[in-house]
Amino acid sequence: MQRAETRPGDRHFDVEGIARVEGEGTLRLRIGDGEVREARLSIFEAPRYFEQLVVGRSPDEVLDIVTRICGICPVAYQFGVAHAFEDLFGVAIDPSVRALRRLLYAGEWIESHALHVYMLHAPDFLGYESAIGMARDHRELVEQGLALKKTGNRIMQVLGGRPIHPVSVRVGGFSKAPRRADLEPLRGPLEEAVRQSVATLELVASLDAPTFEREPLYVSLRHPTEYPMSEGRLVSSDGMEVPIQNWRDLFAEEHHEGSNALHARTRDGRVYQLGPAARVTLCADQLHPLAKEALASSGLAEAIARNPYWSIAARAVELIHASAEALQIVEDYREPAVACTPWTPRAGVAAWGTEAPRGLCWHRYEVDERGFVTAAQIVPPTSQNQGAIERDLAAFAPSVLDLPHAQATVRLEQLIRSYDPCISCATHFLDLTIEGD
Amino acid sequence: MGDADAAATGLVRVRLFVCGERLRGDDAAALLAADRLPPDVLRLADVRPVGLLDVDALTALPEGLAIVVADAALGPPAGHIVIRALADVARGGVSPRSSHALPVGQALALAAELRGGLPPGSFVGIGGGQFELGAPLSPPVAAALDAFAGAIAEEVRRLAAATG
Repeated sequence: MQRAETRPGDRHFDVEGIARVEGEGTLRLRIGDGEVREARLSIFEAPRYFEQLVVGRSPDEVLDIVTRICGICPVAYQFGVAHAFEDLFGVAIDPSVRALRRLLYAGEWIESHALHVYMLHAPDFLGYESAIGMARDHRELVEQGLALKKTGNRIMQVLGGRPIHPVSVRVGGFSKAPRRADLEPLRGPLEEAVRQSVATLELVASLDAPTFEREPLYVSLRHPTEYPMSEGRLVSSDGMEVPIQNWRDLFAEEHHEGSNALHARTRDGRVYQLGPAARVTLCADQLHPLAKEALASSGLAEAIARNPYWSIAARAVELIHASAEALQIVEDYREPAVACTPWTPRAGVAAWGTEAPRGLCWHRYEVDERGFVTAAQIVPPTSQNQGAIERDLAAFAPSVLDLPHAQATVRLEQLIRSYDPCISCATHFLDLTIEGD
Repeated sequence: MGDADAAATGLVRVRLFVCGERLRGDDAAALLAADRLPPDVLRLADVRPVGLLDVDALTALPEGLAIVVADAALGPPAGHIVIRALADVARGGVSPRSSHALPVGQALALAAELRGGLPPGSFVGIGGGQFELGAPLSPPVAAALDAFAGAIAEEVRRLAAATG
């Protein structure tokens, strides 16, 4: 969207100095004569530094470095690296190791989604400024959210060695595989998490979301037999489908004025949306039966597909899926014969994508014959969703112009939070100003 | 040492939550300061490096323990040391600044709601100037590390005496 001159009567929605872990940014929204003249989400992001930091590093060093990109999606970043190099080096991992990876991935989703649903997004729907106010009136909800998050943390602790920035993931598997007895303490909390997750979706289904419908281009991984986490083909709601290594066949990054983040578009220039709503919409048939049944009972599948505010329900559905699959993995676990499959490096291009809680995260590394990186490209989900956020803000903003100023601001903040971008909650700093005669 | 054990020894009266990330410039300040704490303070305090302060860590706190939260902070000039009551930090802002974790003030405020109040304790912070991954300590923070460790130590001693 092009920038426009300010005119008398224009309304301005500005967010300045957004702080984040994965990046920082600002939001600028200009509305005049009932039309959106400008919608721009500018993000200044750290991952670009990482593309240089990993040059000259070995695969396992890269894996340890990229985990620091994000405090809540480290597993997604790590598995992107692990899969990319395993694919290039022709490494076949033990099936039990593969199951452990999905368990760790489920832990990350539970941790991230529980935090977002209960602490960051539910207050919007229930009319609270934050989870603190919500805790005064709905203590049980906050405790339920914290309990779910704690279960995710426990999985990360058991498998990754610590709740954030796991240290056990290696190219080829894990540095050490847990014994069956090590996973047993997860069983009880996961049984409870399944119950709590189902209750979460029931709670979410009772909320009122703003009316806003559109038909986005959804993109996610899709696996033939399971709900996508770190394997599958890249698919879209308009029928695109390529191997995950070929992300660049369909998408490209481009610079935008006013931001050091690269924005991603389809090769023909369209914005697209990643994340839980995309995954639930494109892969609902692969959900765990409990999650599939709960989604059907909620009657929210169509709303999730069309209204971004209902992404909170998509996260709740994925909480059920992650909890139920994690419990199944713990119950079926057999210790692997080999925790980490040895590998031999070779020169080439290592590329892969994984489904971080907030959407597809894609990596591409050019490596020499020692396996050392000579060039890197890391495409985080937030920069891919940026265009979709701006498009939705532009489309939704006219509908809030008749609302009181503060209420309109909250609605716009809530819309941004629906995407769970790494900058999402910083929009609490939204400083709404109105200019006019 | 388990939670109950720690309090039961009669020596450990304070839990010191050390926040930060060693690889992110001045964000490492509290961790580096904790490395410099003298033996008498280490006998009084159960030191917990936590990265970010988590609500669970506060709601699970045994009765009878005071806490000190040490962290680098945005706002004060780099190297400037601030000591605040926990209640002041909890009132300081309800706005989350990240979708990744609750900030210290919000974690404290939420814990206070769930616990029915905050434990006795204080926040000891140092103003930071650079937090980028791979950045070194800024010169003002590096120069103030001993003073920062001293301020943490004094708070631990004071709270240990008050709760003893």
